[in-house]
Amino acid sequence: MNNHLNDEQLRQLVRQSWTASPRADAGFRAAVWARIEAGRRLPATWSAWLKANLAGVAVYAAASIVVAGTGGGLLATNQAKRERDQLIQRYVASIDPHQRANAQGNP
Amino acid sequence: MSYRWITAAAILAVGLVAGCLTYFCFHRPMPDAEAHGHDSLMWVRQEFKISGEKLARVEKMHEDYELICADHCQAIADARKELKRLRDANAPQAEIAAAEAKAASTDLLCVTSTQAHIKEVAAVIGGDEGRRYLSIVLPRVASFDHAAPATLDMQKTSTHDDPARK
Repeated sequence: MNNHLNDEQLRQLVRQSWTASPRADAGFRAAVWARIEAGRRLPATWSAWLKANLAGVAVYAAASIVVAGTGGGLLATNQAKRERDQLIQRYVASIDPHQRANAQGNP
Repeated sequence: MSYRWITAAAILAVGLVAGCLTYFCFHRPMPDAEAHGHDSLMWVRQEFKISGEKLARVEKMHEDYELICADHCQAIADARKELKRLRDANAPQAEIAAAEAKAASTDLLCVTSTQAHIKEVAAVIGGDEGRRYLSIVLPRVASFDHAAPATLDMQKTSTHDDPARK
């Protein structure tokens, strides 16, 4: 366990041999104040934030609507086409004896 | 949660709603055939918007032809079974050739009969819609590969004239 005498010797040794010389950051103070100011400027409500960023939000919202709308439309069109094809096939199978014979598993 | 994340979630939600709306606007579901007692004529009724006397005629023709189709189906099955029986039994080539010729003539009769029925229905529908009906239905019968199970693939070629494949 260390005693006080040893601690004192260590302190003196550190004072003599360890010298820290940090470089001064010229922009440090400005950066701190900039962050403080940014915090002050942050709108208190979401709607106020939206108003402040309306242009960007509008672009993303429009892109989202266009992409999702196109996707939904394509999906619906494909599904309708598939359903129609199935109905046509059912009709054709009802009047084509070959398809009936094949459906019944004849060689 | 920051406003940025709330906004991103809101934009996603808006996109989802837009996608669902477009889907339901564009999707016109065909009536469910299962709910209509396997009504095979439903597509013709829906697609060509026929009604009244025309519809009655088409329905009658379809009903009548379904019976003929069943007979043809039976004839095709019998011809194929006979051909298979002869081949399995290693029957004389002449007998096999005769059975093949009979199968081919049965096939030809069925195809001709089906195509004639399709053309009659097209004539009853009439006009551009009749021609459209013909352009949709006829290739599906003509190009159907009768050596394989039913498919929607329109690229297959006809094998009606090739009884050896059956």
